[in-house]
Amino acid sequence: MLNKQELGKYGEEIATKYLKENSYQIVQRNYRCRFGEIDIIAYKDNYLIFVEVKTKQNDKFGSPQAEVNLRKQKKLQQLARYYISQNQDQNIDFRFDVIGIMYRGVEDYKLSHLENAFLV
Amino acid sequence: MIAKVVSSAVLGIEAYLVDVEIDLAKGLPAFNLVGLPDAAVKEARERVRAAIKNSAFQFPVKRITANLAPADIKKEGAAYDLPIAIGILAAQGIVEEESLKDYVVVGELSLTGELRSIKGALPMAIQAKEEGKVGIILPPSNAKEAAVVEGIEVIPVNSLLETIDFLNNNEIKNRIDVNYRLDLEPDYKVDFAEVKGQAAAKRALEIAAAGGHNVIMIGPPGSGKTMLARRIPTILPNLSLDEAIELTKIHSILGLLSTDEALISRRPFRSPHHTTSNAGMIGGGRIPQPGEVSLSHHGVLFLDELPEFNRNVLEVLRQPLEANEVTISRSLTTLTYPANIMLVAAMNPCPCGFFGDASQKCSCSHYQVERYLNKVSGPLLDRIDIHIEVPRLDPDVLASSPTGESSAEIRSRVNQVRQIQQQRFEGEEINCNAEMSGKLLEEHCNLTKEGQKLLRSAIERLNLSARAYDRILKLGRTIADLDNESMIEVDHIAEAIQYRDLDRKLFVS
Repeated sequence: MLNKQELGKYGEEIATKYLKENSYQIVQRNYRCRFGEIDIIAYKDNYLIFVEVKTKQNDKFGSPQAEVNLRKQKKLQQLARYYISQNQDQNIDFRFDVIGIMYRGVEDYKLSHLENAFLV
Repeated sequence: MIAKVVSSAVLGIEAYLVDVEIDLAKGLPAFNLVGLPDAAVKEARERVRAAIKNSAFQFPVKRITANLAPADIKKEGAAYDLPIAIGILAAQGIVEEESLKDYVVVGELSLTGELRSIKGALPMAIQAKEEGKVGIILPPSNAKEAAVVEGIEVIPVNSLLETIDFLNNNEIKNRIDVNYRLDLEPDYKVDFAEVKGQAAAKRALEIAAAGGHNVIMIGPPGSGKTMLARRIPTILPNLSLDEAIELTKIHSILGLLSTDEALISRRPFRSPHHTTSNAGMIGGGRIPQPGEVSLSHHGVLFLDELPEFNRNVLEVLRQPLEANEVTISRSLTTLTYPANIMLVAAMNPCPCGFFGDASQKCSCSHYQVERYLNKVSGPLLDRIDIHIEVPRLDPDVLASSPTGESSAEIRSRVNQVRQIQQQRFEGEEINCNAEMSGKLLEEHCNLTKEGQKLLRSAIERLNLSARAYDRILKLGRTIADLDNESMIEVDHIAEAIQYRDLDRKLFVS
């Protein structure tokens, strides 16, 4: 068992590795502003993608993706808007992705990638 | 990236064209629908997304804005699903925009991309033609009603994919044969020949059908009032094409048409239950929908157990009976629906039903009978020209096999009388004797000397009102027309007088 901080960190490492393997460019990790944090900002096919990574150690309370509820979605939208306002020069489309990771032990995990997970 | 698709919507019994504009913009992914959509239209977003995905296309990750113009009219229903989906695909360049200008597109999408039927296809097709469109693309179940409109291509499509095929390559996979042949020869399931006895009532109904008079039938339970009423549409003249289209429009906007019947050729017979509300009777709702009076347009509205109806439901009938149309005002809009009906009512003579019956004793008190009859208001009765008694049948007649004229024979006579009336009222706003008013009564109802004498003595003896006098004259006119006489003779007047049972206060003496 990992504690929450370690688990989150571990999950984000796995997600980053996964995205790179799938030819995404990582624009920024752990983008922080006064509203909160975006786990990963990636780029692929003229899309700037805001990625939320959720890692869990057991599925007794539902899948990791299900943790991204309406409140979290609203939070991510707010963050995305702020990010876009700070980096206005992009002429590209945006997208929200969710990566859920079920962690069972070192090098034993299950990853699922939900593209365009929600609309604003 | 922008695309425009022309769709259509219905308000009242008329349709109007709606421009569906789709804009795909950069930004956070969103799908917004503007232009006063109601709940069903807003839900189009989910159906459109699933339908596009399940038709093996990409749903764009863009900021999508769909606008339904004119933006100030409330949009209802699911008919915008298909135009929105086509618009989104056209904005991505999947559908050729060039072909979209000429067609009106309507249809509800299922999640699989197949099409479901919509309401109001007939008025939409008529409007599309008036606005100079080449064709209308719609679900196959609505194809037949739209095909009634000549001079416009009707393109039935089963799915979103077929629609795209048609717009891009002009090919239709499952072309439904809509070789529409005008068939206004009605096929009724019932016939007057099946009615045993009741010769007097049949004669009265023939007069009613011939002159467009409203009828009330009074008789004990089980004497055949309902059976007779059901057969009235079979002796009315066949619908003209315009009448049939108007009637079909009303049924079309409520989605009541069956898919195999293009145009309604049978005159409607509506028999609403006596618990029907005001709105159910004349129409109503936030955006008013037609009620029973409009559904029985050009046909028979049968009110069984008349005194059981809510008093105010009967009162609201007065205006449509007079005007042949009904105007319903609500805060959102005011709509007028046609309501040219023949009112046929049936009632028992008293609460137990056997007042005046030859064999069975009535168990009601005098007061009960009076109260029962008073439930029907005078002003409504004033609009009913013919009052007839429908007595219980003799056991001998009951056991015999029916021997009467068929509906077709009666109808041929009715048609003749209608023709006489058409000539008579040429240039007037009315069509039949029942609608005559003061001046026309004077002009067309000439009595013979003997007739005048009889009518005068009847008024004195039976204490008839001025209104009853007018009714008798109109009835006399129709009866004389049936005999093809230009003057109203004494026999005609005598017969007319006996159709005024309730004026004679037969039951309350």
